[in-house]
Amino acid sequence: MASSSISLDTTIVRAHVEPRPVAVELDITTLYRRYGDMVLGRCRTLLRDPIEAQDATQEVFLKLHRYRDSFRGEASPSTYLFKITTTICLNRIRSRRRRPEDPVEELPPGEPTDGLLDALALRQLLDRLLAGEDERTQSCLIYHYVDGMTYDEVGELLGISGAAVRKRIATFRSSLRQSPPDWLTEADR
Amino acid sequence: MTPHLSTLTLHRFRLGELSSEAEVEAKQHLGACPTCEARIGVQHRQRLAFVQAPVPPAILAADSPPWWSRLRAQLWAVGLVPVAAAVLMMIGGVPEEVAGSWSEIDAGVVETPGLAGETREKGEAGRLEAWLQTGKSSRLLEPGETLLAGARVQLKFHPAGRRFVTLAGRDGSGSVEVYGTLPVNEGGLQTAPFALTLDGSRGPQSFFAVWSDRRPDADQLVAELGRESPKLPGAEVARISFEKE
Repeated sequence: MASSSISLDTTIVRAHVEPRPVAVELDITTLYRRYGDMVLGRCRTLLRDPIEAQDATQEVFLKLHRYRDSFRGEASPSTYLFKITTTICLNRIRSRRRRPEDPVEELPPGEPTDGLLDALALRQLLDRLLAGEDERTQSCLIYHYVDGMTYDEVGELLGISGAAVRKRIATFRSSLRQSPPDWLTEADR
Repeated sequence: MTPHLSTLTLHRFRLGELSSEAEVEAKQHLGACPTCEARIGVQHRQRLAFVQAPVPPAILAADSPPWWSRLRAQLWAVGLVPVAAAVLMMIGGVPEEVAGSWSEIDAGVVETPGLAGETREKGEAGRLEAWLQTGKSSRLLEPGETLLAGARVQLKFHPAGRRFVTLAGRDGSGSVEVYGTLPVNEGGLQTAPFALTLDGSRGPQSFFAVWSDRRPDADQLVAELGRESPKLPGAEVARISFEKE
């Protein structure tokens, strides 16, 4: 073989000669570096508050650290993180609604997000959801209308059938029949 | 049905985590859908801003080892753990997985017969990662970045459903070095149990991960990874490239 351009770092090798298997460890810092932007972006999309989005992002990863054993069964860290980020954001939004006197530093108007609804439409949707839908239906509607997931994709994420998702969304739509908002897609009307 | 890719699908596409088929579909959709193209543009911009910011101390603290691990490290430093390990080895031997991995890395030997089947070249991002270590922290390297002499790089890889992964590198002169073959564990991202220190030679530097169900033939690996399009039947190959100066 020709001369090598790289040398193995024997310090690191020695450090690993400790009697333990070469196994996956849940390295929160590594996961944060890889998925932190996804989590932070999602928090900004749903919370519309840059300061709270930072707090929520930390909460997501610290929760992941606390419940790391439940994470091991998940096929994809991105899917798992996306789901718990949504849950944490919705919890915060519910809590915020209970304390309407708390000031919220909104994202600059017009700041784009990777969701399918703009800020006004998202606020309308959240107002409707929090006014009377149960938590699972709230999640279904966020994943469908904000994230563009199909019924089956939502069902897979939440561990329910696509048909059950369709039913929840249809019930919600029927409640809007009198005055359908702009963000309802044509197919939904 | 929604007419757009989901936010999660866009993230997974960007991260290289989609299956080959889903990746092709996503690419086709993005080429035809300005809305989704703009949405993934937002994600890319968020990524760029994110990598500039430091990791919050609370996250770093979560990874700090617990007291028993620190104690073990201190015992190691004074030589007590090696003694205990030696005693354990005399009693029961080293677990097969550990012995296997380390003997391979130490010897740098890749042995046994060649591979059979079809080669599939995988995307770079989701399969093989290179991390730059600086002091106690590290950061994910983006493909194409410039690396300096002395930089310490840690490779990480996903299991890809295979039994073995072989890690290798190729420098600007085309010289290929096989660092070792490891048994693959189930689960998510895995870290190579060694780091690499770059020397002072300049030019492109590529790192490879080759997944296979049998141990690959070293000569075949060196020959194929020296080509622009490696053909390793029955194996999956990921490559990530940088500039070195």
